[in-house]
Amino acid sequence: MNSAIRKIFLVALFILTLSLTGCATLGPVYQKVDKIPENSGLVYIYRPGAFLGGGVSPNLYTDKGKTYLTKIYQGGYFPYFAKPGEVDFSAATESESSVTLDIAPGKIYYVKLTIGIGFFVGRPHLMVVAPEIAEKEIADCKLIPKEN
Amino acid sequence: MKIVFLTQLRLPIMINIILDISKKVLFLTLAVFIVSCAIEANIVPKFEKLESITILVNGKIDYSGNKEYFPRTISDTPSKDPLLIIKYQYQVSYGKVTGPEGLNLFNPLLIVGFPIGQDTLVVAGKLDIIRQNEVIKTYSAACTYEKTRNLFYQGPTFSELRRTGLLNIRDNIEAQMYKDREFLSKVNKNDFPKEKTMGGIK
Repeated sequence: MNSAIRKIFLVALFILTLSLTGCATLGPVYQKVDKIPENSGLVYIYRPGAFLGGGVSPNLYTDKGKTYLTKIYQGGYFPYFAKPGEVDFSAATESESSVTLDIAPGKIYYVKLTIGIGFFVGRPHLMVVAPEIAEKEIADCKLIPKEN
Repeated sequence: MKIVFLTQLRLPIMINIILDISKKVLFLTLAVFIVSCAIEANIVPKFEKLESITILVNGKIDYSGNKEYFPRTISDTPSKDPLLIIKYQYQVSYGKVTGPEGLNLFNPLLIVGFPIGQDTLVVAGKLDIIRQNEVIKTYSAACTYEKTRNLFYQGPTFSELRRTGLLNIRDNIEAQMYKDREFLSKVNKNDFPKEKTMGGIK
């Protein structure tokens, strides 16, 4: 009997650990950034909540993988002020995904991250989304706090 | 004794059957894999890439993007009062097709390379040659890419596809300009012929 209870406890603990993995304290629900700095464009990188890949939180990079920006958690969004010109964003687990944007000053762009099926771990998928679609999808996302 | 005899008799037949099934499965796997890891590229209009590049037109360039994507058949003449202004712009659109991701978890065919999603990318470029505030010639080209992903093959990223697309558009416009070289040789002169027909995609 004791052995059965112990097994159930271990399974429950395992499920709890899995469900908590990748969770983070997110900030307030999506609000538009008030002011875009001069000579910069604004890129919102967001990840709507989904059934698959909740425990996977890929790192987001720019500058061809050289500059780390943040971890993208499920249900989160991250505003990034980019300098005008070509700017790329990438994320990787067992495979890499990247998109490149032509940033114009004062303009707003949306990049969506989804997690798809993979061999051992979910694979990130970045995509540039039109503002009219993105604004609906990002509405429930919460701010990913800046890492120190 | 009887069992040993039967096993000895049936073993070659069973091996043959297994080999036969294996061949079919292998063939099917290969077929699915090959079909599902393809990149389909299409560019319009169809033009052969030039082997060597020569300058065909001079003017003030109105383009602020990456110089690598700008047609090399044009040279910049920065002046306050240019005879020709050459304006280049491009647009990139993204698309993605995926079924319900949750269903993929229960799809055994994924292990033989069944597609898990498709990415599409459309790149369009347009070059205007403007003389005295009038567009005298337009060259345009567009290319589409369709990439199918599976468990074993992700293919190039959107960034890589975008770059390939923009370079192909550049090459295509260069080839269109080369075909028009006689006309372009006159645009810098005062008695150039006005042409209303646009090049490339109408």
